[in-house]
Amino acid sequence: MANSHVLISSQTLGSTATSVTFSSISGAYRDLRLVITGTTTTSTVDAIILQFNGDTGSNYSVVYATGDGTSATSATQATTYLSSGVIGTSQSVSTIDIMDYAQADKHKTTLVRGNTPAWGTRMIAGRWASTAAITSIVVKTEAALTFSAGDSFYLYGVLG
Amino acid sequence: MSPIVGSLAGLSARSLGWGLSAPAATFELIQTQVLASSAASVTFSSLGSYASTYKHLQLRVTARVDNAGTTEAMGFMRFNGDTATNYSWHGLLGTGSAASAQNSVSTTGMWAVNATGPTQATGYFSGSVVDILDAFNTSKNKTIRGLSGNSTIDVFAYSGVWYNSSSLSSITLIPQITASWNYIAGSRFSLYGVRG
Repeated sequence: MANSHVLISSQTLGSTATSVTFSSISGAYRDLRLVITGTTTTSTVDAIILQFNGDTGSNYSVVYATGDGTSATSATQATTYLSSGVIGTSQSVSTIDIMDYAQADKHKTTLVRGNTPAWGTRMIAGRWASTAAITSIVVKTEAALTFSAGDSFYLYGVLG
Repeated sequence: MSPIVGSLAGLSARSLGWGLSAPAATFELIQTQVLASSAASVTFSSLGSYASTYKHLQLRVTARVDNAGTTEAMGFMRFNGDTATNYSWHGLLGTGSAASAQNSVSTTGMWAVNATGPTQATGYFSGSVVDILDAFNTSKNKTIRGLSGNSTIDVFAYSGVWYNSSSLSSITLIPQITASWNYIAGSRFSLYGVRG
């Protein structure tokens, strides 16, 4: 039986960058999984954000909960990007599941686990209020920080 | 690169007769159910036929329910048709205004699969990813862990247990234990096997 978890593309930065883009994403899969490992060059922690298909409108919303070692909190955000993880100057990892990303009858739902071990852990449920198939993803940080050389971005497809 | 090295680089280990083979698939789709009409429950059955192939299972869901006036349903998971109080679960819930601990002990199902309701935007389905560990191991109670939620209401990270060491033969998902709600058409349920 074929493997149902397939690497579509990976990018490891040869030099610092403020954004990473995956484009021309095929609709051949049921879900996508984006895994981001790395650091930023400044700031203890910041949110990783995504935008799909170049949409910069106010079409994104999330609810999240965070544990930072002293308290557990929760908040919502509705804005022009999708909060999708955490990253800082200590090694961080975020895993983002994008469900039914190519289904024309559904808004796009995300589930995220973000970890910056020196700071805390965050879980996120998100939505892009569009029924368009996702064909491109831009990754940035909320405060426009810089990703470090060596940071890795892996995009997987999940068949279904 | 020299022409000789370049040529060798284009050959696979197998073609050179070294007896190596491509890595076996380790994460495989067992079945996807996309509802053509509304349903009060969704079941994956005859799972025993996968006991010799897979160690773990993963369920990936996008779901919505039909109960009028409902913002969401936090659906339940049961194994092997057991409706008795043989389950417990614990979790961390974020509602947008607070984070809290949730649990239920010795109950009739595990809180596992969020589903949006009719008061939410058309086309918005909740997402869930649930791992079922050692699903066929007859020396262990069956444990799950997962992440589920929707951006309007809440996000929930949880674990659950079925106090039974039987090999898994079926998984049933229901939107509500105490009411007759339905998953709507278009809700999607995909089950994967993980080798080990």
